Parts: sequence; C-alpha cells; structure tokens
Amino acid sequence: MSEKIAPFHLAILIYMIQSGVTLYKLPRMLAVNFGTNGWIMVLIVSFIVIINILLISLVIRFRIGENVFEIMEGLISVKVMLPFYMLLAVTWSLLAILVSKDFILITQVLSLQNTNSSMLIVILMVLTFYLGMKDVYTISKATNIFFILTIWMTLLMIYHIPHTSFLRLTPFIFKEGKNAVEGIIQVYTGFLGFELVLFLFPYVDQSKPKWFHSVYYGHLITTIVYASTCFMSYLYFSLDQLKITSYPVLNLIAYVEIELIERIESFVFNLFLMKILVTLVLYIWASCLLLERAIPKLSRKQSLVILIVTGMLLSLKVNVMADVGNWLLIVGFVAAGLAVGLPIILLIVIGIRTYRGDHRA
Amino acid sequence: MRNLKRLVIVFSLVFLLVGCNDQKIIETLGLMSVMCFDKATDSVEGNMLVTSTFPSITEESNRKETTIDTIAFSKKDAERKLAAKTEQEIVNGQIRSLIFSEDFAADGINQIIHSVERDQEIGSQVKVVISEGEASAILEAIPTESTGNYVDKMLRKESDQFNIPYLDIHYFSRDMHDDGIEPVAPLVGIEDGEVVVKGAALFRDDRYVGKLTIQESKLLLLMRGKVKKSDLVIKIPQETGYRTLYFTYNHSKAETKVKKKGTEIEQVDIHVSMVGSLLEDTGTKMNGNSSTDNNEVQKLIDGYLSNEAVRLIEILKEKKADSLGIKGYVRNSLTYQEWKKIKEEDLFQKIPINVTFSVILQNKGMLE
Repeated sequence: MSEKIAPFHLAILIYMIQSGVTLYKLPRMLAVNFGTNGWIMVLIVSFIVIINILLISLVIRFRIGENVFEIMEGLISVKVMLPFYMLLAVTWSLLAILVSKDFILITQVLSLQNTNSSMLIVILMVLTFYLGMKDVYTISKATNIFFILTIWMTLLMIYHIPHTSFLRLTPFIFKEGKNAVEGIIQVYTGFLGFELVLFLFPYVDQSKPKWFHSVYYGHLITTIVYASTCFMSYLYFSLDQLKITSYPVLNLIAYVEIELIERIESFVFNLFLMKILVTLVLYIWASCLLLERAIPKLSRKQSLVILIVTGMLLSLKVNVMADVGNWLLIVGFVAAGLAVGLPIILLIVIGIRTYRGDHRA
Repeated sequence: MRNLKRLVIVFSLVFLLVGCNDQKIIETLGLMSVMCFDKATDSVEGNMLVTSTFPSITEESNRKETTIDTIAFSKKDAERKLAAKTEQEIVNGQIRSLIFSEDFAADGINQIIHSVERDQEIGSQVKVVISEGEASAILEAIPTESTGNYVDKMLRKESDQFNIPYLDIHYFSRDMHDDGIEPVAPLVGIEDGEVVVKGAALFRDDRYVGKLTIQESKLLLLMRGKVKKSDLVIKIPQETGYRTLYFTYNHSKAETKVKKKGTEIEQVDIHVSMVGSLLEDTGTKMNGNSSTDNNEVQKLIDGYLSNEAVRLIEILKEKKADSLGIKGYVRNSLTYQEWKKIKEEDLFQKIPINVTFSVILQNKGMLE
C-alpha cells in the first residue's frame, strides 16, 4: 500500500481517464455544432481545460492538509459535508454507468444485437468491481497495460492519408454550425477525468518537485489524439456527410482493409472496452472515497456494490441511444461544472483558512 | 497476484461465452456478393428490380452461384424478398459491388446509398458501378463463379491504371454531400457477350446524367489531380490515315487556380504538367539522318490534349456535372458570404475554364 504512482504513470492514467467513447462521436458533434473547421474547437476547449487544470494545481500547491477532505473539513464540519459527499459520489457513479451504457449501446450497433444490453452491462460491472477492489497503484499498473494495448490505434490514421484532401477543409471557420454552446459543453465533457487528480494526488510519488506536470502531459496526449482524429475526419469526410454519420471514427476504422482481416472495426472497437473500464473504475473509485468518508464504517467491497447498484438503478430506464445521449449531456454538464467548481471552492476554503492562520501541511 | 489471475479468467470466460449468444453458421448463409438494380415499371410490387447472386453450397459441397431476382421498393425490402426465395439465410456483409442500370441511376440513387451506409454489416469499400443497358445482364455475362469479386477486381485494376476514377460507397456519398464536387462512377457494358469497362458515368448530386469514354475519363483524371502512371494513345489525322503516338506518363500533376477580378470570378485555370516517354510513333520514317523531334512530338501531344480538354469541358458543362470539383476551388477562394451568394446559381456552367498542358518527353524508349 505504500507504493506510489510514478509521475509518468500518472500522465498515462490521466489520458486513459479522459479519453473514452466520446472520441467516436466527437467529429460529428463538431460538424453539427460548429460546422466548417470544427476541429479547431478541440484545441480551444483543450486550452480552457488547461486553465481548469491550473486551478487544480493551485489547490494542490497551497493545500492545508493531506487530501481534499482534510482541506474541506478544516473549515466545515464533516456532518455538514456529508450530504455533499454523497451527492458527489452518486453523480460520478451515475456518469460512469452512463458512459458504459453508451459504450454497450454502440457495441450493439456493430454486433451482439440479439443479446440483452443489461446483461452486457452487468458483465462490465463485474470487471469494474474486480478492478475497483484493487488499490489505486495496481489500477494504475493495469492502466499502463491497457494504454499499450490501445494507443497504437491512433496510427491507423496513416491508412487514410491517400483518401484525404485539403479542399474539403474549406477556408471558412465555424460556419453552418447549429449550437456552439452545447457543442463546447460536449467537447468539454470529452476531456473530463482530469479533475480526479484532486483525489489522486495523495497517492502520487511527490519526490520530484515537478510531478504535477505529468497531468498536463496526460492532457496533452488526449488533445493530440482528439485533435488529430477530428482533423483527419474533416479531411476524409465532406461536411454534410460528417453531419449525418453517427460514429465517424467507426467509419474511419471500418475503411481500413488489410489483406488479412477485412472488417477490423468490430475488433478495434472492443479494445476500447479497456479505455472505458479505466474511466469507469477511476470515477467509481473516487466515488468510493467520498462515500467512505461520509460513512466510514463501509468497506471497499460494500461501497463499490452500493455505488454500482445505485448508478444502475438510477439509469434503469435509460436504455435507448437517444435517452443515454440526453442524460449524458445533463450529467456531463454537471460533472463539467464540478470540475470547474470544486477547485474554486477549495481555493476559497484555503484562502479563508490561510487568513485565519491555519498551518500548511 | 492470485486475484489478478482470477480477474483475467473471469474476464475471458465471461466475454467468450457471451460471444456464443449471437450465432451465425456459415453453411446456412447465403453470402450475397453483388446487387444489381434495374428499373421496374408498371409493377405494384415495387419500383426496382433487384438481382443478386450468392454461392449455394449443395450436399456435394461444390460451389455454384445462384442468381435470383425480385421486385421491391427498397434495398432492405429486396433483401427480405430475396431471402424468401431461398432456403439460405441471406446476409449482405460480403457485398463487393452495387451495379445500377443507367435508367435506374438517372432517377437518383440517394436512397440506396444511404441504405448501404446505414447498414452496419456492409463495409464502406463497396464499389458503385453503372452499367450500360440492364444491370442484371452484367451478372449473366461474367464467366467466373464469384461475380462480386470479379467486378471488384476488374474495377480496381482499371482505376489503378488511372483509366477510370476509383469509386466506392464512401467516395460516392462524400462527393454527393459535398457542395464543391460531383461524383464520377465507373461505367461497364457488354460487348459480344463480354463485360467491358466502358468509361466513366457522370453524376449531378445522386442522378446519373451522362457518360464519358475511357479516353475522356483518362483526361478527366489528369485534370482532377495527381496521376501516378497511365498512358494515352493519340491519333492525329494526316494526309493519308492517322499518325498514332503512344505516350506513357509517370508523373502528372494538375494545378487549379481561380482568377478573380475584385470579387468577380474571371476564370479558372487548370494547368496539367506531365512527364513521360514516347513508346510508339507511326508518323516518322526513321533513318540515320532524321530522328523524332522532341519538340514536335511534345507540341503534337499538347495540341491534341488541349483540344480534347475543351471538348470534355463542353460535355461536362452541357450535363451540368462538376466532376472536376471546380466549385470547390471557387468556394475556397471566396469568403463565406460571397460563397453563399453565388452557391445556388448555375456557377459551373458560367465560369470559363481554361486548360493548359505542359508535356515533357523524358525519353523515347530504345530508339532516338
């Protein structure tokens, strides 16, 4: 338990939490909401996220206490914080469950149409449970393996280069878009996951003074993967075609035909399970921390079961693609609000406590 | 460590077992390799005659192609009706090409293209082909057992040699939805009972509007962009008969520039530069004193191509098919407001297009 996450592994962990099934829809979201040259928006939103991460880094630098809970409880008593912790735990576990539902539903577009989707979700939850039982150091080790198994997929894009044309990019910027605000929220939710570093930092090896930089590096990997994929989609699809294609990235992968295997998209998409699993486990893990802080009697096993079951019950009725999309938009919006709000609240608390003269840890 | 092992076992077992839930047994499947669409008139059953072939596996397991047809209202409707006519379960995951007859394509094939794109079973490298005459006749004329593969290979060979444009479902849909270019499809036909590649089929949006011969479609490809390797047989009329030149080119580039006067578009220049070698010339009587004159040949080829290009552009303008993507170049030279203003007008017909060639003879084979 004394082992700590190395900064390098933290970067990979952050990337793996951030990137998920959103990538498959991202080019279409951009085309519908921003129109021409929407891929630039990825870079802009990524920059906003960097500011968000900067806020988190300030919290960690000026922290008073060992972890987020100690910061908060120095000012506000645990009893007041209790409902807040619970609410946060439920929100995050609901987000995790929704993400996995989204993934399962897309899987079922490709294959396993005759299987009941809730059965697949239960299987995914079994995996989450097993991985969630481990301590965070082991989770991060597993994440590294998952990273190696999935990162090569980005290189598949090389195959599409002969089929691209800069003509299709057009010189117009953000024309023919529909709803820029909704679009920004959607892209922002695509980057979510970095906020978990607020809960991760006590487990990170902080012997190097610049360890926090790895959070930026993780975010940078996400940005590169997102931006290059979206850029490629804009070169490969025409704008109106992109708007009507549900999962442009699936189409991109489906276009790759090698001599040996022809339809590699069903194989590649299943590999995405690992990315989803990391996102899922880390969100549930953070929720567990919150729940256990609120009710210290609970063991890890119990809190995992409680959160997974609560999340599944809350989203019991959400089984259709469109519903999942709407719920994800709302819960994603809340989660995005939390990502911005949490560090700000924490900074205010730190400010008040410093003013009162509390000692720094 | 033991827990990790258990995790891996649970992971693999559970996932492998769920895979058994959706079964497909290959012996019971009718793998369609091609679908042909013809127009069906005066029928209450539907507006399209769909013909398809698939290998039927008999008891002796010798593969034979079965061809069946049906009249239907849509592609999926057709698949259902075809399946009703056979003991096999019809699946479309192995479709290699879609063949449309000229009549059918003239009414627009948007509906079929979208149906294919929506279908998750069908990949996006399915070829779209237009046939002169009936599409189902193509099936009968193909000698081999695997019809879909034959068409697929034939088209791939021709497009690799830059005789006809490459086109699959993705390309078609992409150009159909793009406001700067129109799709061009390969055209096949039947000559003396054999399937022959005839040239290119021009589209306006999703409607078939006209055709080009192989020679014209080669020129179209030259003007559209980079050509890696192709050849031209050039016939120049002389006092008696023709002088024939055979020119193979390895590199050819096309540069399209939009000339503007203020905000008005003056003309579009296409400059094609090609480097290649002369491998046949029936015009010169060679002897020790005279050899083929490089400049003369270059001029001849240049002049021939320029004339042909003018003719080609006239055809395109007459059919209102912007297969060269001229509108795309115009679009990219304008601001968004300007583009929106002129987009709906019959822009392509109005713009004067000027094509120039620069032909460079790299060598003349083994003779001077």
